[in-house]
Amino acid sequence: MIPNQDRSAPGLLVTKNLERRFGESIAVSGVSFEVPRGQMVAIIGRSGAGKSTLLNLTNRLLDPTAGSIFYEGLDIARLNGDALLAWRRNCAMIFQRFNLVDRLDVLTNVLTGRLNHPPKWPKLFGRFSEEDRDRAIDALYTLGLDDQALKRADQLSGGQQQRVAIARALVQEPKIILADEPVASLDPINSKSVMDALRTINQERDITVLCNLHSVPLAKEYCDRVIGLNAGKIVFDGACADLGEEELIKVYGSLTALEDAL
Amino acid sequence: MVAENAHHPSALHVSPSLTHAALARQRFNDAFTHRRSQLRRQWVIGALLMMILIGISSVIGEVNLVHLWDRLPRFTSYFGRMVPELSWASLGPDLARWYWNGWVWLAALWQTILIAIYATLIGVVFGYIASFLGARNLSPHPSYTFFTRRLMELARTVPELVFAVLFVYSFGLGPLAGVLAIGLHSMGALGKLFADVSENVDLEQVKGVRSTGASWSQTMVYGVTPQVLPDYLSYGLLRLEINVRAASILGFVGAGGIGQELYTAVKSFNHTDISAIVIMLIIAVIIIDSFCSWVRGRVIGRDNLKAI
Repeated sequence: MIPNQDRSAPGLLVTKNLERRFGESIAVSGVSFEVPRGQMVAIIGRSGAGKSTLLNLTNRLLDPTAGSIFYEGLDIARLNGDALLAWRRNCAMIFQRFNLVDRLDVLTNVLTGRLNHPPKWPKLFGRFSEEDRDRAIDALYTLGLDDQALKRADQLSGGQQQRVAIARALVQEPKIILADEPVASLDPINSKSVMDALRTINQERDITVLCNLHSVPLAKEYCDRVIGLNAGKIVFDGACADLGEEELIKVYGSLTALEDAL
Repeated sequence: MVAENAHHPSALHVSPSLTHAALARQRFNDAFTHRRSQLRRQWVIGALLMMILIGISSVIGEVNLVHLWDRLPRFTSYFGRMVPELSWASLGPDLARWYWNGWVWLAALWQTILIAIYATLIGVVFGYIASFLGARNLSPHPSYTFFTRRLMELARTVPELVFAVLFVYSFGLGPLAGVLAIGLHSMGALGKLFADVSENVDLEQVKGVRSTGASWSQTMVYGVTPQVLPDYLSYGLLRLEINVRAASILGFVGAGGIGQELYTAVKSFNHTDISAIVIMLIIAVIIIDSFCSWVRGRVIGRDNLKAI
């Protein structure tokens, strides 16, 4: 596999034989890949193929049942306590259902991305620093939402909410962004604005992006590389150009299932 | 049915000539009749059992309707003695005589309300913290849930009066004992209600906060609290209403407030004093109840009623 000394390359994310079981069923099994810094990777596959589980494992919202995850040589799968929380901060997540706190205003939602930046105690009582607030507004401005800052999150449209979620991810100052079906609940126009935002962040800030997608054309349009999952295993890993119909059938299992994804 | 049979002439000769739909209806009718007679039997047995239990409990509980009827006049005459002498001609002086100790009673009533407010605060603050530990879906570890829930049960099962007696014994006579007694009981009641509310939060929103690297307590504050706040507030205000009533009794065991005045009046057979104090208490409870439901209506209504 990969020699140990190479795992500590700056910004390198490596998974090795990663496995996650839920009772009897295996969601992810024997997944090994390495993603260099700044790459934008699409993860495709049918629903239930283990895409979400893989991202949740990487952020450690889920614990793997076997295997390891390395970031710059650090074994992520064995972190706990403050080190685990710091890893989650470095590895921002974006969800299909946005996962904003509905009853909080947009600004506070974005500020939750600063909760793991010191000082932490004042934040427990709602006290964020001037600097934190400036960062939040900057992030909202980047995504064209600065004028919505004081609205409640649930008053925004789906596309806007997803961009708030991206702003929250940005103020975390992450090394990696994990996007779990970020456009699956959005119409084509909002999908484009969200994917454009992710690609821009990826290119301008050199942040690695792992993005679960249900649409092959979107994967080809926005990403440098595609990983195909089927039943929890990697069945394709390569450049978008190498993803032909034969490979796609391997990922999706059958031609009819593939047609749904095109 | 007729049309269907017309297409299958042979079906007419098959006996009984029932279509699938008719068969289903027949099956349902049988099941329904059976179920109904079963229910009726259960009801009769239940009613008989209930009557027997009522009979037994009236014997054990010394419920005696004849005695009740005999003694009813004494009860009404007690009320009669509580009515002060008021006449239109001298209403002012009469009222002044009725409320001869009005300022003292008002001060005691105010103390009762303060006891209720402080006790509710204690209950809300500790109930808030306990609710997240006691919620099965949020607790850092199942053992926290277990111990928090048991502690809450203990705190709310023991009546306020018992706590009050204990606290009067250790902290002396006065409102502090009342605040602690009602506060402890409130914590138990609110902690349980709050925890139940917290078990219904949308975990997706909580996950969103958790994914940023927020600590457990930060996640509770930013991911859970906004979702549960309206319900917590509603229960907190309800508790305030209950606590005003509870605080008015505690004076009987020396834990401060209007109850002490009421107890004195009852003991010294000053019947018009009793009615004067009880009327003040009723008015205060009405005011606080309507204030609480007004606040609740403003906070909850703005949010939840808008949707429809």
